[in-house]
Amino acid sequence: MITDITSKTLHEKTGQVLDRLRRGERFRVLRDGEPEALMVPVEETIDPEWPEIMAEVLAARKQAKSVRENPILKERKARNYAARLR
Amino acid sequence: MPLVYADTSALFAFFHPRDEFSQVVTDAVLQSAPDFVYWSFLRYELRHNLRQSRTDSDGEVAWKALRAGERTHARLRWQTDLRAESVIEAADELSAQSALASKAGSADFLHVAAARRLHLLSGLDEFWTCDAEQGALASAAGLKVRRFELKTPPRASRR
Repeated sequence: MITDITSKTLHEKTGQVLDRLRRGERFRVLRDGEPEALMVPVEETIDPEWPEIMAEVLAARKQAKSVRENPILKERKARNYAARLR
Repeated sequence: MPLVYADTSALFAFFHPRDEFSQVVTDAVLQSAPDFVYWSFLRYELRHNLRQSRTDSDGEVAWKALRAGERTHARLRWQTDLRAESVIEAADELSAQSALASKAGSADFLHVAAARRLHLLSGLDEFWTCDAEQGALASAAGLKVRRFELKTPPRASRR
């Protein structure tokens, strides 16, 4: 879980934040209410980007010879009988 | 990174290589590199459908990619503000306002209520869906919507 802190808090309590990072806590730094940066313990790796996470999916898609109907849309159409009564 | 609420239809299409919307959703992800909102109902609905697709190698690949995404902190960004009970309450309020004007189903209202709450609390860049009714509901709720449509009819078998 990531804790949000403001840039002002980070400035004023840098030592405390670093102590909490050392204990494994992660922070998202907000400036003017907008997320600006992530702070994670030094031993943690940075999250991979989508192309890295999805490498096998992208490869499988190139091999796919057919497609399947999206099951969520299929289920919603089947279940949503009230709208069909109109 | 933009923060996007992709509903389950869009996230399933992203993870499953043979979904009919797979290509268009992937193109959008590669173009804008978003982080996705993740919370308990969305996780449950996505996992459930991906579990049921684990009948072949494509389903296994999709499941493995989802689990890799879940191990990140940012790509699937867990939202502590979205607690199931309060989102259900918000969906009920949204239903009271819009049920007759919309053909969207009950799960659609949950997703839109969750996205609207996040939008009001901390800002949300876009709402992504493959579902026309849900897209219309999200748009009426004030969200910026990207609805995915099939560019060409699906190839060969649909099952």
